[in-house]
Amino acid sequence: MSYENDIRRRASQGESLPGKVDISVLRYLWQAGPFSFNDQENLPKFLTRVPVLNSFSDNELRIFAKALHLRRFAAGEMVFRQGDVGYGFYFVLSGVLDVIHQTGPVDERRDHSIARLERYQYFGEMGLLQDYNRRNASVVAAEDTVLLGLFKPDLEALLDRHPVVGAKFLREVSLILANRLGALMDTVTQLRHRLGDTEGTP
Amino acid sequence: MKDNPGSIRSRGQKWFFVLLLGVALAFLLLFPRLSFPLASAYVISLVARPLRDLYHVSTPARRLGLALLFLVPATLLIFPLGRALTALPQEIAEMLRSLPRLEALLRMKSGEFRDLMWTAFRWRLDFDLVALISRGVHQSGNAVIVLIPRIMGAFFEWLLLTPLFLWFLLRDGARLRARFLLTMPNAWFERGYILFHQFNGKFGDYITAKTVEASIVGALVGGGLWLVDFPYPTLLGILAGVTNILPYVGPVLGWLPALAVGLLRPEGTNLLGMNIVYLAANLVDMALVFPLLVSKIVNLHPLIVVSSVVVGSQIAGVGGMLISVPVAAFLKLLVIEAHRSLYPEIKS
Repeated sequence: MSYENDIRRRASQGESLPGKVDISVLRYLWQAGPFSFNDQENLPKFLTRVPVLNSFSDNELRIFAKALHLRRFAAGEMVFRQGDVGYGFYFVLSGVLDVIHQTGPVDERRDHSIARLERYQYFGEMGLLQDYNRRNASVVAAEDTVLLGLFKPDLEALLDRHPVVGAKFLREVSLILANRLGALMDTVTQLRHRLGDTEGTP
Repeated sequence: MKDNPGSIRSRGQKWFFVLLLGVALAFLLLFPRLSFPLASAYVISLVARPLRDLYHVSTPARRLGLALLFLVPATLLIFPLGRALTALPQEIAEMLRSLPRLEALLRMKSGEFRDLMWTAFRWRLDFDLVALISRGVHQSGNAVIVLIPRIMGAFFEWLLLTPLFLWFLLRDGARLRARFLLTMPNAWFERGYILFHQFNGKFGDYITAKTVEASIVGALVGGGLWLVDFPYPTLLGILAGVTNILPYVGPVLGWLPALAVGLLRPEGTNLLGMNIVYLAANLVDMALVFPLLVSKIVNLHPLIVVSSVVVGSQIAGVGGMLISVPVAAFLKLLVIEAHRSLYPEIKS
C-alpha cells in the first residue's frame, strides 16, 4: 500500500501515525526526484487514488506511472470502436466517457449507452490479456478527457524490467476479470432461473 | 463520423501526423550526410538494446548477472580480437603486394586455357576476360584514388557523427520515442504503437542476431584458417563474417576469396583444410546458430527472403540487402494486421 494511502487510512480510523519515516519511503523520495514537478511526475499521486492499484507501494506506482501514455481526447472523439482490435487498458485521469454498445444488423444499428466512466475509473483490460481482442463496446469522450493508457508492449517491458510491478498489475487485472466473471455468472444463473420459472421447468 | 469537435480534431491530428512524417522523410532523403550516420546510430542503438536494458533492471543481483553475461564473453574475446586487429593491416598490405603477381598468374592461366581450347576444339577465344577485369580494376582504382579525399572526408564525418547521434539516441531515446508517440493521432495510436513496437523489435532482433551470427562464423573461419596455416586468416575471417550477413548467397561469397587465394597461390596452401574450415563453419551456422538465433525472428518463406534480398540490393545496395529481410518480415506483419481487420472471423 502507498504511504499516502496508509496515512490516510490510519487517520480516518483514528490509529496512531508512524513516528518515523521508514526505509521504503526514503527510497521513494530519493528515486522520485523531489526537485521535478511536471505532469508525468505527478501521475503517481493520481494513481494512489485508483482503487485497483491500492496494493502498490509509492515506489511501485512511480515505476508503473513511467509505463503509461498520456492521451488527450476532445469531446465527441472516439477512444475506440466496438469490434476494433484492442491492445490497451485505460485509466481516466480527467473528463467523462460514454460506453456505447451497438446492436442490430449493420444497416439498422442502434446505440445503447451502457455506462459512464469518470475520473479514477478504468476500461479495456481484455485488450491487454487476449491475443486478438475485439472491443465489446465503443468508448466516446463525453467532454474533453485525458486518459492514461497501458499497452501490450508496455506490460511486456514492465514484466521484463520490473517483474514485481508487472506481476502485481496482472494480479489486479485478473481480479477485475474474476469479479466481472463472477457477476456475469450470477446474471446467467438468475436468467436461467427466470427462464425456468417461465417455462415451468426446475 | 459526425462533425463534432472530436472528429474535427481527429482529422486535424491525422493530417498533422502525415505532414510531419512526410517532412521527416523528405529531410532524411535530401540530406544523406545526416541521415546515413543517423541510420547507423539507430541500428547500433537497436543492437545495444540489451546493454541499455541494464540500466532499467530493478535489482542489483539481476544487474550484476546481466553485466557478467556481457563482461565474461567480452573478456574472453580481448586476446583474439587484439591479435586480429594487429594482424589485419599486415595481411592487407601483403595481399596488396601480391596483387601484381596474382594478375600475372591469372594471365598465364588464361593463356593456357585459350591454347587448350584452340588445340582441343579449334575455338579461338578473342575475348580476354583477365585483361578486361584488370583494366576495370585499374580504372576503378584510379577513380577511387581521385575520390579518396571526398571518401575520407565523408568517412571521418560519419565516424564523428555516428557516436554523437548514438549517445543522444541511447540517452534520450525513450523521451524522443514518447514525443513521437504523442504526435500520433488517437484514432491510429493503438495499432500504430503496436506496429511501431513490432518493427523496432523485429529490426533490432534481426540486426543483433545477424551480428552475433556473423561474428561466430567470422571467428570460426578466421580461427580455423589460422589452425590449418592458410594465408590471410584474419582478413578472410572478417570477409566471411561480413558476407554472412547476406542470406543464402553470403556463405558462397565469403568462400570465393579464399578459393581465389588458394588457387592462385598454390605453393604451401592447404586447400583441403581451407574447404573443410568453410564447410564446418557454415554447417555450425546452419545447424546451430541460424536455427537458434535468426529463424524464429524471420519466419519467412525462403523464396520471400531471396526475393526481398534481390529487391533490397536493387534499391539500396549492400545496406538494402541487409535491411531487406526485417523489412519483409514487418510487411508480413502489416499484411496479417490488415487481414485480421478485413476478415475478423478468419484467424490469420
